[in-house]
Amino acid sequence: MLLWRASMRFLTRHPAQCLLAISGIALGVAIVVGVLLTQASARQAFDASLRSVFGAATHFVVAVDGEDFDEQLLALVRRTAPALAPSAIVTGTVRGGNAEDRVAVQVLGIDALNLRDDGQRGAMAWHPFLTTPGAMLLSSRTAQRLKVTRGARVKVETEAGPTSLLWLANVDADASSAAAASDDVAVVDIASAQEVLGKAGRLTRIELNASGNASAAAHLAALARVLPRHVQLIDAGRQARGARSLTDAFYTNLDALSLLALLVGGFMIYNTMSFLVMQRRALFARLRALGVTRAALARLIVAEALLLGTLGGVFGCALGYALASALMAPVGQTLRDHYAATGDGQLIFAPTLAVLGITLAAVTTLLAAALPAWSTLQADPAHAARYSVGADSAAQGLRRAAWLGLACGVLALALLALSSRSLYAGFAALGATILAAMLGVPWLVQHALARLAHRHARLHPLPVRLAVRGAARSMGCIGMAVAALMAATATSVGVGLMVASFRGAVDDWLSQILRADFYISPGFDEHAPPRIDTEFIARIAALPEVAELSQTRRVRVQDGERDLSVTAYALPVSAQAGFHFLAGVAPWPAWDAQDLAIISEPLAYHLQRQAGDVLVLPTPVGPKPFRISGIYTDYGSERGVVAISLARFRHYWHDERVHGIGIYPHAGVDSVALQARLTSLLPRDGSLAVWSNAALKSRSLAVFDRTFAITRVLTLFAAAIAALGVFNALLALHLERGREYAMLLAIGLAPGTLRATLYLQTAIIALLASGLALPLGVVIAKLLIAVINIRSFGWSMQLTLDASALLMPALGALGAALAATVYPAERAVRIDPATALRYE
Amino acid sequence: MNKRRCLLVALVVLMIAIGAARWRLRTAAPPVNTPDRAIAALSARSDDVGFARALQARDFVFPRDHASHDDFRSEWWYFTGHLHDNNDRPWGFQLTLFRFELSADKTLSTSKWRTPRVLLGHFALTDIVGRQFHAFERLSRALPEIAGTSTTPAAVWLDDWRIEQRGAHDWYLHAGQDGIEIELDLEAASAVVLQGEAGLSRKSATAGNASYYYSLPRLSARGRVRMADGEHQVRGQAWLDREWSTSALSREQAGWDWFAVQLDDGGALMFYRLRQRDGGTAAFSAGTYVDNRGVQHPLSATDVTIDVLGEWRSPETGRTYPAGWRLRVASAALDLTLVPRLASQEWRARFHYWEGAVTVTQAGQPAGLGYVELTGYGPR
Repeated sequence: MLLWRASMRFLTRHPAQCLLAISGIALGVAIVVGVLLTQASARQAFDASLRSVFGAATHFVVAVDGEDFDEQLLALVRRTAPALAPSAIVTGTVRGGNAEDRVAVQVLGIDALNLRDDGQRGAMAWHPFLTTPGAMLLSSRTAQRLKVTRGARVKVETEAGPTSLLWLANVDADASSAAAASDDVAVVDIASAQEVLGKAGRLTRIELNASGNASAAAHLAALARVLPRHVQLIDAGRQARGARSLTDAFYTNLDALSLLALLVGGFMIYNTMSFLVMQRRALFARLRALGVTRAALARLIVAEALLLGTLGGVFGCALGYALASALMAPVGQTLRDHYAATGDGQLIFAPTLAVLGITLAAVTTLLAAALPAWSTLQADPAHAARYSVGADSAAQGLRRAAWLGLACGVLALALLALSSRSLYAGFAALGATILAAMLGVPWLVQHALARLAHRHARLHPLPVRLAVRGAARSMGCIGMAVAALMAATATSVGVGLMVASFRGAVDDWLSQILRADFYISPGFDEHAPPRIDTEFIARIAALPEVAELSQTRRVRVQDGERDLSVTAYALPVSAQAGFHFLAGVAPWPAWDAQDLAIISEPLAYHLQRQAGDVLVLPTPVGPKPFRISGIYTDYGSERGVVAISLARFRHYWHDERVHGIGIYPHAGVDSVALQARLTSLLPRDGSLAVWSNAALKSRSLAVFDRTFAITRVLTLFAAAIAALGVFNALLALHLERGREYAMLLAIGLAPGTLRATLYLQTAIIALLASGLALPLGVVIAKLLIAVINIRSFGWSMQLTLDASALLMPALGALGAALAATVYPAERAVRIDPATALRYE
Repeated sequence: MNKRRCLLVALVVLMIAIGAARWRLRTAAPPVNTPDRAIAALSARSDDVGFARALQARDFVFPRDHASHDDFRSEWWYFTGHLHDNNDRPWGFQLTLFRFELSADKTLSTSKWRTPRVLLGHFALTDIVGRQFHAFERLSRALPEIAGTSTTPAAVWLDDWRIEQRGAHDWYLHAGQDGIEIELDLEAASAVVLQGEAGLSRKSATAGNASYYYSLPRLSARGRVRMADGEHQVRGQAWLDREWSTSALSREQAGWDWFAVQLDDGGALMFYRLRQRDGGTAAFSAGTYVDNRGVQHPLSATDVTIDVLGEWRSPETGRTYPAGWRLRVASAALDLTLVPRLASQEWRARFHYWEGAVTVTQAGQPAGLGYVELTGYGPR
């Protein structure tokens, strides 16, 4: 009871320290909880959107060319495999909203009659849904974006021209119905879908459900036997799994960043807790001398740690929720941009997550308190009572940490040497590198400063001498905080450099690859069908201003387990020069004459194919071997792309339509007038747009920047935690040294000199931390580029040392450290030496 | 004091955790799914505007009336029967095709899916020896390649299931799935029975709450039954019920018990008991007794006394159905005992109901075969 009172009194008499400890813990936990929560919710939304698009289907019948097919096929599928509950689906895209804020919405046409009672697509008023042309179900968020009110019609543009849809009911009443999470999807009856999309008589796919059917394999085999060649049977699970595994790399990156933040937070918690213990060395020693047992003191420290940890954990969870709310929008946007997912989803805060967060906080705090507690309790009470800070044991601790750091460094090297493709090993190596630096730095700094102080014993002026010695001596106390600051700064530098290098590479690549002055395409909708026919191409080619055209056609094919993106190109010579080959040779001389393919770098990485290998592509006339001529740089798709000749595509696919054309005008043509002329030739439904070279490039870079927005937010968060940690540590340090400062003032040191000494000391520490952060940052950037990026996406690029990415975080750290000195420095010089000496 | 403080902190943490859990539970409450909501929506939720209604007796013309009556909302071709092979191995079968119209409007559309016509098929084979009830359901809009009706000859089809009129009152049936299949030729062995008032079957006091209803109580069947163990040449007898209407049951009716008995002496009995929500028998319950000379005797609710002899609780759905009846028709000197040939003949697709083959005895002696349909029984 007495002990408790002593503990409580200490904590209540140092509210600032208490608050800092709790806030440090809270921030550390917040970032982990925030990222986990964002991830879980985004993943759930993503899965839900997959489910809402694919339903409970286990298999699909789709056309080999990915286009729609004749609905008569349904009769055959129904007769052959009635037990698999065949259900017809028609999908397409409509555009709505204002002129300035166009919204693309996926139309999912389902045979509402055939819905099974699995609750997947929610329950609602079926009759008007079935009988009202254009009746749709929307989430209220999508309705907002489309600017439609319940029960009203909204005008939309489709490939078939303008039409209207009626918002019949909303489907976001509860989170467990899949349609609920599917933002940007309008669910309509299949009749409405065919009418609205101009797809009468066509189906996009037939869904089959083989789950719970004992003889499903036989039914599927029978179906595969009777299907005509232009369609195929595919495994929906495989498709969904494929889509999910694509996002895995994205989530792993988020995970890694959150763990990094926890690492930083953990160091800070350690620092805070050890300070709380160290400060009371004398008190504990006195209590020991009075007969209090070690066990009783240990229990006290554990209880304190648990209390602070739990409080920090609770606040951390709340803060994490706020952070997740802020992160959901950019994460959802990234998923939409890159993974064709729909929906931002809703934050789903599971109690397990709260338990996890609070447990994490309590356990980390406990661990952080254990080490200093152990060393304090081991010490001889008589000795400990005399010296407030055990300089010897601190030095010993630093040495031990440095050895541990060395071991981490070796581990990092071993991980890199032994693994070649594992992303997890890559992240582990990255983490080990950072840990190695964090553990080694305090010892290194102390050593260097001690050397400096020793060698230049007469360092002038006085504040410099005092500052250097003071900094060296304080390493045992605040070393961990300094290391955390360094690690956070280095991570900011590393991530900044990687993003800058990446952006530079993408920028270069866009400038290389975008050779035409104008492009006509549906824009950024990867799933848009080809809308440009030969007649339109001929009309553009016939314009007197136009010298040459390039043409692009995309198609998805199913290659065994994988979904492959094939792009067919017809390129003028000047466009061919835009391709940069990393391996193999340019295929251009025989491009249209032979079955040649070039594959993008990510695809080469994922498929593990090289130049000279043969890639068999399924075509409507059967599988055809394409020889891989070269591997080219492409940052456009992380799935990777196979490029073939448009002439060969037309030969095998018998399809003349293309997705985009590039326009190369004659020299001296007025580009403004040409753009206007091209725009006037576009179809009126808004499905195609004219893009200038610059517009396309800036749009692409904008998507890039959005993707890395989360990364930046998270590194900033880690840096903020570190800055707070340094603030906390310095504050504690200076408060503890109050007596020392008073002594200095008492023996005649001018307050100005003391102030200068304190700022200088901080500056030395911060400069060392940020100075060491620069090389470490470059190492991190190198690891991110050469290991993580390759293993996540298959993209290679050069590291460029961007000055602002390099220096801004370091300057920020310095500023944070100096700011942290203001309060203790001013307090120190204002204090009355006599009082301080008497009471401390 | 401090212990109490600690306790307080722990309590606050606990409360937050519990609050979060409750919130999660609330947001994750599953939607209420009724198993037959699709059909409920199809048959009950729309208005009757534009449909013809069964208001008065009409002249039946065959074979025209064997075909579809598209201006009524719903219609069915309902075959049930008993089959046996050369070794007297017995089966019961049911093949029903329902036609529903979602609306009377014929909206012009480029899409064939815009059709308001929907076909639902139920095919069941009761393997009495194997103690198995095989039941299959099909549902589709009337798309030309998949499902539809035709007039000459009268035919209804849904995928490869087909009901087709072959002679004046003769029929061809085919249905199958998952290795269970029947193909039968049915030859009329009795005259058409017009149920109710010359074919107008009133279901409640409300005018128009009625159907047109006729039966062919005896059709001799021959054909084949295919099962996992091979194909069986079969013979037997079947019953056809034909009914079309726009309004079904009234709100206060919970369901019905339908009995169709083919007596060994050549007579036939059909009776349906409309059950009130309060458990009573609706006054509009009715039937017909055809004696062995072919004379038809209409039966009203009071002419028939039904005693339930047993119950069967479905282990799958938890619904409890009567199983076994004593049917007494004093005016016809009938005192029949009906016993299911297999307890488990429950439909568990979009509709939940019991429809099955029964044996018929009188005074302990075999007196015929029958089929019974029980709807509107809930879990108890």
